Amino acid sequence: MILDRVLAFAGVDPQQWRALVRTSLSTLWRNPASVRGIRGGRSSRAVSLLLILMFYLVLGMVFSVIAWRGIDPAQTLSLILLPTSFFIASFVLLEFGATIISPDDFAILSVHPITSRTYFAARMTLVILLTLLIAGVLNIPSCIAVAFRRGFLQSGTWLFASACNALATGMGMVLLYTAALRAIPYRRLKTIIGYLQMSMSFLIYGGFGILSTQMTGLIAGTAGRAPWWWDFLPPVWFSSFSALAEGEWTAGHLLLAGCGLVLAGALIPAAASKFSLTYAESIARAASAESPRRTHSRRRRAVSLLKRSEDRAIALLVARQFRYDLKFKLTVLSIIPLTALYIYQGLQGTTGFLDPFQRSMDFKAMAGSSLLYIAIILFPGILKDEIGSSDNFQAAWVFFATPADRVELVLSVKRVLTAYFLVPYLLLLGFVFYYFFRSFLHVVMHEVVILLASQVLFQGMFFISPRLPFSSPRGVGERVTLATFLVILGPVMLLVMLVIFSRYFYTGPVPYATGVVLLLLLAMLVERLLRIRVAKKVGGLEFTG
Amino acid sequence: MIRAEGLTKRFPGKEAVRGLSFTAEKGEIVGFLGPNGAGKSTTVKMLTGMIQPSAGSAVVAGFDIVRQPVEVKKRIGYVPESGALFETLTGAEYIRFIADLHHMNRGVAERRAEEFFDLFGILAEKDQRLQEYSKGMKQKVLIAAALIHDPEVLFLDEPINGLDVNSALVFKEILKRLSAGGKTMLFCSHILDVVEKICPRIIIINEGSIIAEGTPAQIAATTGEKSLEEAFCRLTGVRDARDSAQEFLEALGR
Repeated sequence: MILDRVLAFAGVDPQQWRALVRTSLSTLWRNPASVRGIRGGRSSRAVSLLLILMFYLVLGMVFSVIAWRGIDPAQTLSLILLPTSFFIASFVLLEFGATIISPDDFAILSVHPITSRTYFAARMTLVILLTLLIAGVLNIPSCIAVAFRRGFLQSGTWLFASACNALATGMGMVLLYTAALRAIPYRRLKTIIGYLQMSMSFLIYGGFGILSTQMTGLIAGTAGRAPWWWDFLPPVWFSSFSALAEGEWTAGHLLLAGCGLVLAGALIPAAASKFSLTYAESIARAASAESPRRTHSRRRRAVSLLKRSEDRAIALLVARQFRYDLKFKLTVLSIIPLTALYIYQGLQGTTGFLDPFQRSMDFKAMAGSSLLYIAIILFPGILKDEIGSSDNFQAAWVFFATPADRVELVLSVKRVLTAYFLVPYLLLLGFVFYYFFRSFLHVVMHEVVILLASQVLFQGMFFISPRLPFSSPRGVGERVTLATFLVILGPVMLLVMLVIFSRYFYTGPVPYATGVVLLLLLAMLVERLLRIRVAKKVGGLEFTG
Repeated sequence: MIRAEGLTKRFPGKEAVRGLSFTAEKGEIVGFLGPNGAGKSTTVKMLTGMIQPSAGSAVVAGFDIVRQPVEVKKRIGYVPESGALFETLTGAEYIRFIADLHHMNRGVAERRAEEFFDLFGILAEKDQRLQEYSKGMKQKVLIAAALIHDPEVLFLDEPINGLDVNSALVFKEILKRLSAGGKTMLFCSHILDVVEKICPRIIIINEGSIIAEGTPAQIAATTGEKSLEEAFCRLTGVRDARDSAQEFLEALGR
């Protein structure tokens, strides 16, 4: 009742506001109504959201350990708020971009008597709820830890700083997103959205490398002074609240805290102006604007390299999806700068790649170059997951109504990715290796091992999650969790395999041949197990949509 | 060519199809009618091997739908009600994609596709993405995809949806000739006059069970109605249209 009066006083229709918020929230939690699609298939959107939140909670617990152990409260808080901002930005805008921008809203709502103010209030509520939810899960464990370590004043300050940081990040990203969109003619807006999403996914995958390097140094206390750009980061401004609560009323902290307050105060009303039905109209036009284009069969020759008809069909779909599905295309393209970044990071501060046949690989020697090996798994892994879903997922009925072998269709994705993505990437890597090894034979021998090892891990990815191509709707939060899995688990396993191989099988021609045969046998065994698993997993699927 | 015996499908909390038994002989076009939610699409999905029956059996083109689903799928064509297509493909690419899924010879598939596109008047648009097609053009591609491998049995779920008058006429003529050539067809539609013209025999289902079967005239005669439309309304429990409209308008006034 009080809420209704407040809303009515602000010129917002409480009934409409409630209906809009309820609908938006249920849209987030439920699968789309049309996703009756494949029975026995994937878990619901609500389950994946809960998994994401659990993942964030685990991160929040890690942050609470940092909060407990940190010496300088302001610097510790900034260490926690930086990744929090990063996660809010990526989660809200990458995964919920459509929810915030809502290109469908105009078509659905414009015929109804909803005022821009009510629409704005509902959208704003949603963004605030989402950002505070993520910030809460990530930061509340740290606030609790600080309450025990430093008292309730610090804990309350951390909570306030977290809320300000979350809202400023959310609103700031909405502004950034919409400012770019407003500046561009609406025919190109869709492309821009895609490029923004690519930048975001680039930040997610690339950010792990950059952030982890900075954080490790700062936590270990080896970083000394923070880098010069540190004070330009808004989360650091909000962290200054903590220094003030500690009694450190220095000019620097006052200035930074002031910047934080001004930023939070300015961003909210600025972002608010973007939530209107008029704006939704321009986005709706962008979403529906298409220019007719003819296609040419340039890829036909490449596609015909594949002998199996299932492989050809999937290769054709992947090629067309790459060409015309902007989200898919940009995911693939985002890997290029990412690879460049990983190569750059991988070569920083090391002597480059050591020839594993001259000297055994060990974790210490590989520490620098490991990022380059990470990309081997990251690259096809991202694609594998991306190929599982599509906005056009309902067309997957053809896989159920034609005599195509569904197991082969799943495995076709693996073969297509190996042929057109993994092998070319390894060729590129071969040039890098040759630059350092100066031995063509060693490069080839090492690459054979990498190919086989990465095949086994690639098979493992399909084993964990076998999916028919382009057959499920794009999920929520998947990219964030997938990135974590791929960045942490897959590459570690690859590095372990390579280190073991280098130590025990790179010692002579016979051990090498033995090792390669063993790897080959392992790949064949895993392939057999994979077939059984895929048959079990996709054999029982039904298309009921 | 289609023989269903006690075909049943249960979903959690609902029995969509209840012990359906019927046959469609070689060269026969059988109309499959029923109100929304009667179980028509579920029956077709079972017969096409897309979903498994909970009970009962069916033989399509001489093969058991449960034990030999792949053999069944090799011999059937299906035009789905949903009309979903991989829209990043062009019309020509989609047909090639379907031909690959049927393990067809590329040359034969492309020649047939050209003929279909020409027949339906979309030859000039065959290299445009399906995203840019109108609903009717997409429907034509779906029909071409269902026929490309020259199937023995056709399952057509609202195939005329979205087709322009000329294309619908051509399509109906194609169906008649395919039938004369020995193809079996199960034709699901809500458009009763089309069904009446194309299908010599009709099956009406309601709430998952067959409630009438025969020629349109036989069904009308059995119910004592003058037309198939009136017989359908009587059989499926639809109230008098004038009474329903009156009640609706009164409810609006309350």
